[in-house]
Amino acid sequence: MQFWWEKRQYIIKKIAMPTLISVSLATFTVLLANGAAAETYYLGVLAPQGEVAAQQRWQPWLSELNKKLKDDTVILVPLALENWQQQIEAQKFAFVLGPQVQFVKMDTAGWRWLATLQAHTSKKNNNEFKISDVKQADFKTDEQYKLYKQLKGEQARTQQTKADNISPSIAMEQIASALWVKADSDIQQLRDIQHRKVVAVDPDAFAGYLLIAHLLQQQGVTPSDYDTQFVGYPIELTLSSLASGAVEAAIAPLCLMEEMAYQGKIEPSQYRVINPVATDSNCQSSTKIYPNWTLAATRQAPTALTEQMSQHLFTAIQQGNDSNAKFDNFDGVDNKGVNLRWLPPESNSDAERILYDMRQHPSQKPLGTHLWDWIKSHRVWVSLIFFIIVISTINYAWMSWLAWRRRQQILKQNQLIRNYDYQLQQSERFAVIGEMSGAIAHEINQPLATIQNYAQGLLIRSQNNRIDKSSTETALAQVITETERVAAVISNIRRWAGRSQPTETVVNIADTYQQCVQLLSEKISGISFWFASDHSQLRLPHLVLDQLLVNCVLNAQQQGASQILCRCQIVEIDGKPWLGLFITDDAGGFDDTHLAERKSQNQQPQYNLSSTKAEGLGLGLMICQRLCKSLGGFMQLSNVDVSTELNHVKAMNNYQHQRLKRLLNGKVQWMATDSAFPLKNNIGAQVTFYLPLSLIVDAT
Amino acid sequence: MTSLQLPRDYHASTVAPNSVDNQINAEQLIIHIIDDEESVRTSCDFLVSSLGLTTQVWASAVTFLQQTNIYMPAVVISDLMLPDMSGQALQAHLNTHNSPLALIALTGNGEIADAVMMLKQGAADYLEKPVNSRRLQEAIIRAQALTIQRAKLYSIRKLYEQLTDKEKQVANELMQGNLNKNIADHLEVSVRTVEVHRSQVMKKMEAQHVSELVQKLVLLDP
Repeated sequence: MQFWWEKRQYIIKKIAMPTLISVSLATFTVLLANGAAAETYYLGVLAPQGEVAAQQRWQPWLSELNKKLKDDTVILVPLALENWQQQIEAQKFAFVLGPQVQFVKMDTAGWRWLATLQAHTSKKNNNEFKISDVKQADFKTDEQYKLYKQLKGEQARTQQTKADNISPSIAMEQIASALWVKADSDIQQLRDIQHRKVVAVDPDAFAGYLLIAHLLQQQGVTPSDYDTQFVGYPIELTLSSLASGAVEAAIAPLCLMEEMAYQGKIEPSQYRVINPVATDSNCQSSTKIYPNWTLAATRQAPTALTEQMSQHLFTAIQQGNDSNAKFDNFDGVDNKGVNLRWLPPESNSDAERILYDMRQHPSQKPLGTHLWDWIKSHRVWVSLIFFIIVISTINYAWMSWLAWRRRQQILKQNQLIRNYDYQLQQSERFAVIGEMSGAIAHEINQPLATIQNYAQGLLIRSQNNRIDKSSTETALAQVITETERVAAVISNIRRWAGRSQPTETVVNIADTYQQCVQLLSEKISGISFWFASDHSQLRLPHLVLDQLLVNCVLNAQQQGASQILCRCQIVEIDGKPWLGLFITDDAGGFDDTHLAERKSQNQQPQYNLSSTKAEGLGLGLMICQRLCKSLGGFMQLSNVDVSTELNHVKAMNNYQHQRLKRLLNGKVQWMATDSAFPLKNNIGAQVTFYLPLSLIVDAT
Repeated sequence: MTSLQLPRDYHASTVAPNSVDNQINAEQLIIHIIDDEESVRTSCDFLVSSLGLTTQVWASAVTFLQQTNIYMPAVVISDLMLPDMSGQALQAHLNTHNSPLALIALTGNGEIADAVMMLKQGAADYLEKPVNSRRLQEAIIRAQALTIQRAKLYSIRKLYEQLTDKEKQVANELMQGNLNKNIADHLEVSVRTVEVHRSQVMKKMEAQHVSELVQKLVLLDP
């Protein structure tokens, strides 16, 4: 080899280059022409029982066919059932061979149907002795029956040995189905299958499920009427399940029972088929036999080759009609009494009808599948729309966030404005009170100054012994006049303060309480409100109850209460019934010195304008006391145990526990709550308004 | 503060006494009481009279100004809240006219700001109603002293204004303790001329000797 290579290099160096190139081009052209003439094509074959079985089953036939083709070569490629459809759709194959029903679910546009392999039964002699048909009653002695059992075992072993040597390729070659039950089963006809356990191969298996299911459906037995268990592949699992007794019936492809019996895996005499029909097959079937394996040329198959194959197939038919020997050399089924031959392609409308009835037809695929197919075919536009939707969603989220932030800012500004407004109102109140106080002080101060002047003048004159009757009388008369003047001023003030109230109205206690709380919403968020009342309505001057409640709730809030309790019920004081309105908080209670002062004053109102609060005017409780008195009642302040008061509230009917919650839109809503919140202090302040019972309008 | 436009013959007399030095006696000073409220006015009159002082009551400041010589030393006890002319306006008017009157403000609703302003304007005191007699008496005594002092100053200023420019120069030289010869050198006049001017200064300033003259000039230029 080395010598040849060196010699060749020497020739290349010595011979002129143009001559070499010309020769090489001519050689390449000839080789290219030969290559183009002899193409290799692939034939995809479904191999439900494995590649080896498929190779043994179809290779002899294909080899025979290849001999008859002029130039091209067709190579057999067995395909597993799992990826059969995927590989066919990958467009690698020029020819496809498989059960006709399998093509229904594929995209076969542009395909040409070449031929269908049809079963042709040559009736076999069934009168031979079947050892399995013998029963114990047929024997005279037990020894004979034991001998029979021994023979049967030997036969099974012999059949198993034979099955190992012969390719069992019957069950998937003819499309029909059998519904098997045990011989002693009470299932006699198709309708008896209702409410029974049935085993099948797969929901999509044509012979392994759909044919029998369709047959049952025609008999009025829908799949929901019986319990189907799908065991999958291999298909022998169906009859194995039946044999184990796990199910009462098994849906098996045609000839599966006979094949397993032939292999000694099952005893066929212990089973019987339901709804047996006469077919060309030697196997028992519950349905008719549907169009069998079909050879198709895909879009990749050249027309010339397709024509050649058709010609040779049907030529073989002619020859086969004269003698079936040509076909017997590849299928090996003659020993089962079945001959197969190629005939012009049959319509698969029957198979399609069954798929359609069972809602398994590709045109009946679910809406989701349709949608997915549509998305795949319009992926650019769908991607664009999806992108726009995503961008829109992000934009919407962004805008929502901006709006939320803006709303928060507005709420904050609003709160600020409210605070300013509140401070302004406070300032106005201070100003009004200041002006009023100044005016009152001036009105009272002038007479007081006059009186003091006269008194001091008289005193000085008396000390200097310069007093005289006339001037003294004048001075005293002036003093009396000024005293009366002061009294008149005070009377006017009282008359002004005790102006008659507006017309009385009927007010709902719960509603008024709720309105008051909501009026203070911004201040009291986070406080729990308890309310219980034995009475619903009172007849009061307009806004009096509002003033009482707002003052007390605001006082409690300013003292830092976390829970405010309002209780309204009749109580007895010194033997006299009163309508008690108890408002209690958990802010720690009143200052003991204040309470002591009030007790020492015998519960008289405090008219000093001092306040313990930084922003307080000191008028709140004073006003409450005056209003309560104007209603004919009185007010009492005390420190109480808040837990005890809470128990009082909870003991009343229809008590309410509510809180103010801020919603996402920024609004504050009054909502009931069941949550338990801890008390801030055990001791709390309680303001009690004792009102006459005559104010009650109705009792709840 | 609004200034009241008073008529040309507003004041009862704008002529100040030429010499009050030896005539002013505190007990003789009139206490003017101005208050729009009659009861307060009369009661205050009663009280001040009880202290042995001479009083005169007025219902308004305008009436008081129209009928009183504001250059005569006296004490004025005036309410601040008067209808036609407030106490503050009255004090401002007295200041404008260099009146020696000492004003005691008496008010029913005392404000610190008002008190501060009044005292800054030259009021003798600021009292709140009802006023204690002892407190009022002390204020009156201080006001009497103040008005006498202001009256003295006012009369000296009037005398000084009669001097010519040359005489004022000589008076200033005398206040600095210079002799006639030095004064003549400073003013570049003869000694005789200085002696003539000095004689005129002493006469016009109603001073018996140089020390008295210097005392009066010091009061003018504290």
